[in-house]
Amino acid sequence: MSKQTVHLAIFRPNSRQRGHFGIYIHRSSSPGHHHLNPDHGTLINVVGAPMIGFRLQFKRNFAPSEEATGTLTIVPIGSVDQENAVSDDAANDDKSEDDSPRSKPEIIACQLSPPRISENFMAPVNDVSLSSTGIFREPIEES
Amino acid sequence: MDYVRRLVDLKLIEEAAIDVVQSKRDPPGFGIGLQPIGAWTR
Repeated sequence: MSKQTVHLAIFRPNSRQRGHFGIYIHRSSSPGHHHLNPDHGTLINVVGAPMIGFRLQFKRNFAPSEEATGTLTIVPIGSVDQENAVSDDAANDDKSEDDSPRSKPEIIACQLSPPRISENFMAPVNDVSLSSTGIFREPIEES
Repeated sequence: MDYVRRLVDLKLIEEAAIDVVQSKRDPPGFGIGLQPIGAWTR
């Protein structure tokens, strides 16, 4: 069974800012998708800000190569079976954004709550407070 | 981190992914808070 590579996507507009994390699933050469750009894939991330809260977003036909030089780092962290990962539109390379899950990784993302409004968004980030790292937040632990 | 752990728990990706993501996280205080006045011109 063919695999699709899963990447950690780290957006950092400048070196003084915290990285914004997402998951990028590279479409590669999926069967039935040969007519499409093989550099595209789906970015799973949350958008928003600590002071207003975050929401989940799927960016279809996302292309890392189109991001500004030096602002995006992608690191492979594994691969998923094709049947678990197909999510981009098969018909075209059009870019779109939505919050409707189309694949197993996306359904799983929907089962987690994006970070809510942070009470003190200027405080250091730890395992309790929420951060701009989005869905990579730690669970709130009761003490 | 929750999300990657969940993908690992459900065996969609290997456990090593957690270490990779953990290694890329910023320290808790990095990039938080306002810059001191004049910080941009120094």
